[in-house]
Amino acid sequence: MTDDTEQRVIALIDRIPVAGAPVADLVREGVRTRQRRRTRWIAGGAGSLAVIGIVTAILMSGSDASRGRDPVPVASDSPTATSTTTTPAAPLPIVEGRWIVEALIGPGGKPVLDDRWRGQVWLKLENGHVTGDTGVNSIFGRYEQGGADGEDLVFLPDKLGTTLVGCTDSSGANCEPPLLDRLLAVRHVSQVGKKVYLHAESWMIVAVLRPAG
Amino acid sequence: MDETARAAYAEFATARWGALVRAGVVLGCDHHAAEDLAQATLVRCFVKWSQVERAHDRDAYVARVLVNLHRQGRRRRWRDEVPSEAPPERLVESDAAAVDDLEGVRRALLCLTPEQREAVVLRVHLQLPEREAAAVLGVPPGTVKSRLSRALSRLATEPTVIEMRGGRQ
Repeated sequence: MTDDTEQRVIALIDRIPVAGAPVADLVREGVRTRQRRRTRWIAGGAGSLAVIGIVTAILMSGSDASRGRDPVPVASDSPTATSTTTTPAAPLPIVEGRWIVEALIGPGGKPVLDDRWRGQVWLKLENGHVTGDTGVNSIFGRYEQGGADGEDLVFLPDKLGTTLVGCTDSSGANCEPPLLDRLLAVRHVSQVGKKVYLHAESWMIVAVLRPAG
Repeated sequence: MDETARAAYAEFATARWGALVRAGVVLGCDHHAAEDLAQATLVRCFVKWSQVERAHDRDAYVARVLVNLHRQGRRRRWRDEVPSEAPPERLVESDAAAVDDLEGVRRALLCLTPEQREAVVLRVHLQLPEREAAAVLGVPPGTVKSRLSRALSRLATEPTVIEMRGGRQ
């Protein structure tokens, strides 16, 4: 009976009328999407190099002041919240607000936020600017949200900075939640109820955010 | 993407368009949303064309994209439209019989849960092997089997399905 039903269902589905494939539109939109992504990757690659250079320079300077909790400017000529002249992509309400980072997923798919940091790691996204706290260091920088329905989200690597307070456990290993690293992997965003999910290029979840307060 | 790859993509998209639109309807979309879903799926395939070409099973790859996009679309209202300079050729609006067919199919599928619809799309409509379907849905093969079995049991009592004869040759 099941096989018979299956054949009938196949016949039923095949009755669904379909117009011709809009191949030209698909190719045009595909090319446009690729160009958008390529531009972002180029910006991201250059930004990564800049971040490495900046962090190296800060480490080399080694001043005690630079280890304080006040935000360290990422570079003297880097735009800041007040000095920037570029206009961020039109912000969509989905990510704006202050968020507690409920979970942080590493590149291997494993959670990397220990229970001891739960509730202490937060992000605030507003008008293209991000601030936050890893529980140890402050982070600050810029993000851009775009895409047809606001599903694309990138934290601009060349605009992202952090203070450099050290945090080691009893064995001397770094125990700071890798918030900054994971934000750099974010390419997409989605929302389910009140929670916001940050995704990597593959749509793997990178972070789960819940509204603060 | 060079001209050869673009031609291969055009052939690929043309061949799968109908199946993807129908899959969208079976998943629960209305006709326009099903076309949007098919477009978004094929645009994603264009962007990842080298991965599609390398895929062990291209149909499974496309099915995975389709199901994932549909699930994301279910979480928030589907708005991922592809702008078009000229409206595509339509068969549907002017053809009353076609509209009746479409509504008949949609009515018959109302008795299924979203999970059962996914199983019907992957196993019956797109004819993916059980293991591939399970991988796409992220569930064990036994779960796909039981979902499909329940779906077919329900559909077996639907008047529109009972009226149908035959299948794909």
